[in-house]
Amino acid sequence: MRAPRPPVAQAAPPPAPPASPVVPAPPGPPDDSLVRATLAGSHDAFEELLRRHQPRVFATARRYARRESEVADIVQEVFLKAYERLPGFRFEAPFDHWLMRVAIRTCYDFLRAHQRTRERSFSDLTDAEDEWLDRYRVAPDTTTEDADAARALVQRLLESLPPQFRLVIQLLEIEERSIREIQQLTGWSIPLIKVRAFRARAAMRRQLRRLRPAKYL
Amino acid sequence: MDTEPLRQRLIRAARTSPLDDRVPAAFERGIIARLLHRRAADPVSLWAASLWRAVMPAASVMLLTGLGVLLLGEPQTEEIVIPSDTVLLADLDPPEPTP
Repeated sequence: MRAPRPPVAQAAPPPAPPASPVVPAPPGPPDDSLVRATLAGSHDAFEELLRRHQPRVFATARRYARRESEVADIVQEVFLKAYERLPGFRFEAPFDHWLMRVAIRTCYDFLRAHQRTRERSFSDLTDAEDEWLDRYRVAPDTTTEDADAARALVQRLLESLPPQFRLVIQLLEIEERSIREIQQLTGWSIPLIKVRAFRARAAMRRQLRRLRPAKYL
Repeated sequence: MDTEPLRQRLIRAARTSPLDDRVPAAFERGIIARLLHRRAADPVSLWAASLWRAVMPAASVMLLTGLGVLLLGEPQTEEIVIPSDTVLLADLDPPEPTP
């Protein structure tokens, strides 16, 4: 007869995923139950889903649109599309992944629709951006990256890129997502993502070369 | 001229941008109101959608009926052929005397 086993120490927790931020489970029913209730006709359930996920969708939209009215339009469209397409949700992946796919694709549509109105001259720098580049020229290793001027400069640089280049740089280099994640979010093939990333980097370098090279580089 | 280091520095600057996830007050209410408004407008769109859906079957039925009539319809057995000169000169002919 075997002796009873001593209580096993708790297994080590699985490693947290590195790239995507860990979102704690919200109190209340899980997302899947709310989706089922929404499909059964409950607007309250959809309102709860909205309340849970709208901060993340707002944060995503603010990466691609500058004006608050545009951001609100994008978020509204994301949730209206999500509601329309909810019957196609297959409960295989978490609801927030599915929603982020809708959000990224809506942001991309927004970039494409506003492509012409957003074309601006990247070489017209503000005084603060000019000063930051001056400091970078003198001491590239000690120039701070968290300066507002640097952030404004890179924002302008991104806005000068075509939509597909901007999206791939945002997802791949700024948000540091994997190519597989980008494939799921955008629906682009892996070779297409790689080609677009390569061309986007080249386009950024080209834009930077236009910045009065004698002075800055 | 190598601009890659500057590009990398700017990308790192972009990564330090704080996440702005503020939500306007009662934003979700506005979306729910829009959804309810859409649903209220639904009967018309449903009617229009069903009309569009009916276009193809109706066109097919019309086409098949037309073809059926053309190919399977009975040919006319009698043709009334009146020579045109008889019709044109009908008034000029003297009336036949009645006995």
